Amino acid sequence: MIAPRTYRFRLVFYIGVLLLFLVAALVLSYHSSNTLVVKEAENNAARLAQQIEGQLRIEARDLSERARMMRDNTGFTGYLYIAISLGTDPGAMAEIYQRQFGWLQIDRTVILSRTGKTLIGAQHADLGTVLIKRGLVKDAEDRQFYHDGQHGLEMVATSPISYRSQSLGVIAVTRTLDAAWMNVVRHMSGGQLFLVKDGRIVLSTIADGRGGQSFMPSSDRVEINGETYLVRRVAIGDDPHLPQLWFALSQQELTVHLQGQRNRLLALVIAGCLGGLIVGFMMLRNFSVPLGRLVKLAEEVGAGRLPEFPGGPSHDEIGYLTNRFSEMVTSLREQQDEVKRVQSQLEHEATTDSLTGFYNRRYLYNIFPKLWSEAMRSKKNLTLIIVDIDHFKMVNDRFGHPVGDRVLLHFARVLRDNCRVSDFIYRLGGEEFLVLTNGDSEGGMHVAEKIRTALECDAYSDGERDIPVTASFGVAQASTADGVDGLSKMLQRADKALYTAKKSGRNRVVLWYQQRESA
Amino acid sequence: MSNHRLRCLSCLAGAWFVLGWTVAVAAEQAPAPTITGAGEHFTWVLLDQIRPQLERDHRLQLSLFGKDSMLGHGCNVGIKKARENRAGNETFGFICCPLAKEEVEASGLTVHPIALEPLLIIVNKSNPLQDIPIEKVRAIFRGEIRNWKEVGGEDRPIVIVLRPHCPQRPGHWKTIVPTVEQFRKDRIEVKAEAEVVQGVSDFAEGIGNIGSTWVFEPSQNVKAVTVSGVAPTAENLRSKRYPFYQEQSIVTHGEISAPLANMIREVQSGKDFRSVAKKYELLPLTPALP
Repeated sequence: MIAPRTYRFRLVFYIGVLLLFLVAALVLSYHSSNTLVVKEAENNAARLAQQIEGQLRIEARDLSERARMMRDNTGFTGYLYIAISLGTDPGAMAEIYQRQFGWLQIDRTVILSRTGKTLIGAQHADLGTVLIKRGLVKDAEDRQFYHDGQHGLEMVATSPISYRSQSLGVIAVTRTLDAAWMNVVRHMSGGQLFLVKDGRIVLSTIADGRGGQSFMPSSDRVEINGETYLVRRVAIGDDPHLPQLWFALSQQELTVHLQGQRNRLLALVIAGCLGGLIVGFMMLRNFSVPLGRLVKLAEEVGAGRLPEFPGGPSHDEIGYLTNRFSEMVTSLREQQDEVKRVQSQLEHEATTDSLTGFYNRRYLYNIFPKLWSEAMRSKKNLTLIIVDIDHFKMVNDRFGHPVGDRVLLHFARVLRDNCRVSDFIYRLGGEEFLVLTNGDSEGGMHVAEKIRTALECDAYSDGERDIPVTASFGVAQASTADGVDGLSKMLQRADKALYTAKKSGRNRVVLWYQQRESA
Repeated sequence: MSNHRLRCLSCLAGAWFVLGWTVAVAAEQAPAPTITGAGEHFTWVLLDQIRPQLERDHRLQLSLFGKDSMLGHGCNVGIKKARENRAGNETFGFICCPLAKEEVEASGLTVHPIALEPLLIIVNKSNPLQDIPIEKVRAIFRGEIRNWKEVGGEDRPIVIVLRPHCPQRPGHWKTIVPTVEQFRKDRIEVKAEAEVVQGVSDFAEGIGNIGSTWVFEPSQNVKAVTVSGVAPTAENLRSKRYPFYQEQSIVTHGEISAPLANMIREVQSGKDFRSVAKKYELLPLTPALP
């Protein structure tokens, strides 16, 4: 469980929000794409129909330009003039027309004199008739119109011809809106074209389009061969008798297009989600993990522990921070170790005698309650042995304090060598020592006697002289009646026994109990 | 003579030979001067055919412009080019119309007549006529005769194709009808000689005139007819039996170099020119070189 307000939580939250947003966008887009695509298709159909109208205008302009090319060619009009005025063989006109304009993209050309005589294009009598009916043979203006004749729907451009200001007749050139033209427009626009007359298809670009099929659009849609088309009319003139040109977009094609659009959208969102997850994982890996280690380390430090925390490569800000934090913890740990060492040294110096290394009186008073309690709990006896070196003052006075200190060290070594590991040895002050041993007074007597005998047999020697060293011993056993604070009473009893030993001639062991009985 | 002197003389002779050979090679390899000529088409045909011989014999390079000359770009260009003559950039022109005396004096030109060229009367190949009397030719061009049947042909209107070039100069088409105004008005007027031939080829009823150096293409339906039974030949020009002709000339301006003068003399009277003149039935105006 990730705790809130943490960086990791926020990161997961943000990525989650991002993914939710992407999924929501997908769902919204998926559901709205149908409406959007259809609406866009409707706009597109209208726009493409306008483009086709524009294309028709351009072609009409080009057609007029070609008619004007013929009109402005003085060599050609000179021939026409001669042909009309002299009534020569039309072969000459055909020759010059083919030579000068044979390369032009024109479907039909008809040239009529003012009297209606055909000079070029005798085989296109239907067009000549239209020109005469429209009164164009004597017209003084360039014209454009559509004509539905034996060649189908044609775009016609006319231009009056004259030679040396003498009107000769009219030139008419045509461009047929045939299947080839419709297929070119179909490839250019991406939709289908239908030429419709009296509600029936005359010509179309669809693969299985047959002439004579019904074409009755409703709400800008029409169904042909079981397929629904979104249609827009292409304006080609005001004449109601002319066929209608329709531009159409197949709804089935739109559906395929829509499905493709949806698939692309889905792929985009999946890629976005995967990208978000990868980015999130990388962010967690690169930020959250090192931050977690830092947090754990801070918790350890806060709890008073200073664990080992190896640093790493510091290529980024978090790595740099981690390394600085590691250095800080290491520094704190070294300082803490130094404090402990100094504290330990101070404690040692406060509880031990600096010359002999034995515990001092303060430590005796500190430790005794614990030792006494343990002895009482385990029902064991505890016996004190006070030891005082005989005539030590005389050694100091005679040989000096340095020799006295070495005698004390010699005494301490003998004392340590003859005590058990479990015994505690204290220097109470000067030449007075105390041994605290587990066991009853009999055991204590035995230990004391063993020390005394060893001391008596092992005089101090510094190579120049031998100094015999003896000591007196006062032994007292602890009693449950003494209580945990009974050290002073026990010391008093042992002191009394020591006093008796001193008084009795020194170099001997006296048990307090014996003294009391003797008293 | 000692051996030493003999050796010296031999070395001197050798050195002299090497020096002479080097100079000769250098002279051989020196770039030939380029002379530019421009003008009308008919003389261009003549010059272009003998150009290799002229360049070889007179050590010069000829740059000629005039093929298929257009109206206003024939004789006029020839005169203009001749007037551009400068030292180091020598030029000359060629024309098919004799210049008026006033024009020659005003422009400072020197005219070098070459030959008389018969003007062919051409009709469409479909026309059955082979001969037209001279007066009827003139009547046709004047518009007094407007149908072929009037001269023994089919019942077709006559179509005149005319290139009325150099109207201010004497000669050429003026040997048929003296002024442009006298030509028939309803005619096809063209700007190049090629269009004259094409027009007559296009119209089965066509008639026109063209210089005899014109090279007809096989696809063109044109033929030349005799005039009053006289063929357009050099001999008939000499005997003045053939009435229609034009005069080919070279024109220069100012001083001209010896190679150009020699070349013109060669054109006027050399044997290569005579050969070409014979081919095209030209009547040279200068006696042949011995």
